[in-house]
Amino acid sequence: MNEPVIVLNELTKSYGRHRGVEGISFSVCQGEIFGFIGPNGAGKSTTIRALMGLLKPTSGSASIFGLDCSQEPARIAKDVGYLPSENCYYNNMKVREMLLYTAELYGVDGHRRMEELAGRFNLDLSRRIGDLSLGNKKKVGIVSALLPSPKLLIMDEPTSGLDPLIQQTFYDLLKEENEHGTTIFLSSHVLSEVQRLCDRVAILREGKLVGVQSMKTLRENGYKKISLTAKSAIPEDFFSIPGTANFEQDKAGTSVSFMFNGSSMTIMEKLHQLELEDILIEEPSLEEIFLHYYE
Amino acid sequence: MLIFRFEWKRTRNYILIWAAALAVCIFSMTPVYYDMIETAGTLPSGFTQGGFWETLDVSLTLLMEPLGMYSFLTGFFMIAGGVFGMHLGLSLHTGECTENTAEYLYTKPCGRQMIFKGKMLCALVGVCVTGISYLLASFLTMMLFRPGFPVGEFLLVVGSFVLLTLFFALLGLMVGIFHPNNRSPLLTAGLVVFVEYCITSFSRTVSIRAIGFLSPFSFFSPSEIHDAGAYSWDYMLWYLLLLFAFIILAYKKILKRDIALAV
Repeated sequence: MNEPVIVLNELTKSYGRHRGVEGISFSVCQGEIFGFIGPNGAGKSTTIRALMGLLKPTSGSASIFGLDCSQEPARIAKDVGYLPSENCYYNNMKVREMLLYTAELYGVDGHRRMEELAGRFNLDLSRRIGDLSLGNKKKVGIVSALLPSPKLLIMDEPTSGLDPLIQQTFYDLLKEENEHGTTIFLSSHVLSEVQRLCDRVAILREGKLVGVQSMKTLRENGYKKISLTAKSAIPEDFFSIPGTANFEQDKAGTSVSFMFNGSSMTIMEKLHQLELEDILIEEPSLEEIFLHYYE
Repeated sequence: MLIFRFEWKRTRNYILIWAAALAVCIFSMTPVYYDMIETAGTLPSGFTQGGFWETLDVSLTLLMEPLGMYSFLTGFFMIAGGVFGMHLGLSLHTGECTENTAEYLYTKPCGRQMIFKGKMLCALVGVCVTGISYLLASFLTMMLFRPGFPVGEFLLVVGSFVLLTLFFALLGLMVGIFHPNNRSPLLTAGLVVFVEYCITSFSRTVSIRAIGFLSPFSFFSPSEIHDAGAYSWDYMLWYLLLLFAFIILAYKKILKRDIALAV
């Protein structure tokens, strides 16, 4: 097992009456691509801002490379490329100026890398940031995060505002960075993005961690989606067996669909008792697994 | 120095415009007011005996002298200097929040300490540039229109302008760190400076010196400079203590607080 790069230990951040995050604990290992998913307002950005040292935890702790995020954010930041969810760049600066300033803040010579990344993202370096579209501002953020070739990339909703072609370039680039040893932590509510890139995923709901699972486990040991149609009406409690979830039945009672992660033998026996017209057993999409967590 | 260089680049035009405007104004207004010296003796007695001059801490005798008139004028320029200083100090920090750039800057390896130092240095340089330009313009206008003034006393009067601007710049820096969400820094600066000016006028009118400790305008009395050839030591001590307190409080706060984000 690789060394943990990010460790969250019972991290809690509250804003008086407003909910922040509560008791978040998980770790991200070196070389991983780790997804952080949850709907808007779940607390993803709050957690990330605590990791970046912008917010001081109410209790618990967050550390990166073994250093406390609230005590030594500057030391941590040397090896971290950060892409915030919102565009937060100096509008009166030109893209080139802004990126070179970023490189200077990291103490690196960013000219070559900047040209290379700008070329890949088709980013015009001579334009003023304030004049850029939302998508182009996002590109500036991505290039800025990748510019210092960091050991860890933390990205909050990285693809919002990007067109599909640039999204593909971004995914390719992330994979390349990961192959070179960069650990990647990205938050998203676009599940297909997480499904496509991540090794493991943490699910956040209403400020609390629902679970952390590897994508493989989530799929292999998780639910199967079963949809079937029988010749006669199926009794409502027919599939009341352990492991059934999200049960839905049509008005006629002949078609049902549900998620199942119980015993294969039990479900086979149940299905055997029915006179089936059609059956479909498939991998649920991450969306369906995700929605299941929310019920 | 990197943060300072960047902040200087951002604020340079603003500082230079203020410095130039103040220099042009003091240069052109001083000779106009010198003409008043000749007419001071013909002012209506009600006007000369009222409390108006007391609130400005300039006696008619002092006003009759070139440097006295210059002190009187500088009293008004100190209001402008205060607004400039406080607005500069405030906006250095509030700008990061209201323009939504704090999340960029505070996640870079420079650290909060360097950001604080860089911004404070920028405020100090801004005060120095304005002060030097005010000094040169004042010196030039005095030399051209009323040469032969006591240079030591003149420097103390110009120093009043610089020290007061510095006071409000550091106050602004501190307030900006405590309330970074302020979207009207110029209005805030104007109100604070005006209230402080009124406090000084009030303390002079009621002749309660202790009230003067609440306002930096009281620390630089033209008549005390004229009479003693120095600033009051108790006010100066209090001034230095306040500056020190602003810096320490601002520094401690910036290290500990959550970074305020506009979104």
